Amino acid sequence: MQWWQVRWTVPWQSAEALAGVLQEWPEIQGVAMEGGPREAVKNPEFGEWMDEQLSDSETTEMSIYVPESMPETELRERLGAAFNQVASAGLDLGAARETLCLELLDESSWENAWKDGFQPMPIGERLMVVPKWWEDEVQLNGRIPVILEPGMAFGTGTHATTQLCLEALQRVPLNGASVIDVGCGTAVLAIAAAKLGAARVLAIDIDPVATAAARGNVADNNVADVVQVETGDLLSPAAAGQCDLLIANILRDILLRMMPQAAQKVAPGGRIVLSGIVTSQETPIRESLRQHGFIVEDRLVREDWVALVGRRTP
Amino acid sequence: MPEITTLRGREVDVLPKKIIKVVKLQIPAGKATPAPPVGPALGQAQVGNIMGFCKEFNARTADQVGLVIPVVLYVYEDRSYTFDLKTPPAAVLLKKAAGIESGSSEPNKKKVATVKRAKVREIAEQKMADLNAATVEAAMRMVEGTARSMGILIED
Repeated sequence: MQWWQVRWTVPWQSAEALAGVLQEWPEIQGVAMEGGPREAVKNPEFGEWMDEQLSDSETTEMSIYVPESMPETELRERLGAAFNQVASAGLDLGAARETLCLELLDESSWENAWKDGFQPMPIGERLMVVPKWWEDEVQLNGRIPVILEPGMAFGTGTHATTQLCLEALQRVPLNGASVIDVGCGTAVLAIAAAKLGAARVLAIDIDPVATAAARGNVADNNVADVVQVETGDLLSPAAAGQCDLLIANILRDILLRMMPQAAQKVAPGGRIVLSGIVTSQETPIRESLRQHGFIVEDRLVREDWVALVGRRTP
Repeated sequence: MPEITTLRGREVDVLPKKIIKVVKLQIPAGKATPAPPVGPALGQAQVGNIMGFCKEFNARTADQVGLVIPVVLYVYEDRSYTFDLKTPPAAVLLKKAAGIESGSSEPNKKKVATVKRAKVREIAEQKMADLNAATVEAAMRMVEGTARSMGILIED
């Protein structure tokens, strides 16, 4: 099926009124808008920040989608009437008419567009991150699959910080190990640890949306008997006791803050994998590891990110 | 390229969860489907699991069926995403306040309802954060503009 994609820009103050008028059209199921005043970051406590390029703009790009069955002339007439309706109420439409752009789009253009961004990704010598819809077709070539459904949790496997952790997991002894994955997101690292031989893995995150996604991914990978998913932090009862390996792909400030607790969680002789560190900010993390009884025994770099593997002195 | 940035006014290190795209959708509560505008908005942002979004949105708006709900979608650098529900659009709140099903198609000539200014203020206060208005008065001007475009008169 084909759809008219209709786009235009208006001063952001007029977008709400125009959307209100368009919502009366029975042919459309909604209005999409981009731009205008910058939105506040939703969860700064989870380490979110806004790309500086998403700066304030005076205009909003609006788009609606109308079934192709509506003739173009009728569509243009009705849009013109909607613009007039809003303009007659004294609202500034800016360059709405000049920027108006109609384009016929096939449904397949968006049905598959998002899948293009998620291809199976070989990582290190042994792992392959596989988007769920690739599960039946992927050529593993002897690699161990980590099946993920990209969605509302960080850790789709496409970010360098996640890839560094996955590489590090292939370079530490995991057979029979107990593992804690702090700030687990999708649980990509916890699942990989389980598939690489860990006996017991706790995947923990303070964000319940992340742990819901994590449970789904754990089930899809058939590792629910090894990986336990919990909402909480390192002080939660679920995280009681010590582990052989602690993985944390978070951000520098949180890594530094949780180091005293994290160090206690790692058994003497055990290891810690820390990622989410920009190369230029590596020194304070190394210093903190040293202060808490760890020796840095491995360092992995990808793009501008670094991951450190520390071993707790016995 | 990672760089030092500011968060809540202070300098911090680069954080991995960078938001690279923000899209606002106005869609009917409880009825999101992968059809437009949801499909293209999520598809063109290359985020995964469009059905997952629909399911989650429909569950969270199930008790508001019949209303249009604005939803702000935040896309992260690794193309995972989150969303935030907002209060219904001013046009929807005005129709509710005026007790009408739809606005006037000729708002200059044909007025379809009257709403008290105090009610406009109430709606403006309710919508202030979502409208990115600096003051209640600025939000009121936007709500009044929406009312005029619908053929709703405002009286003191």
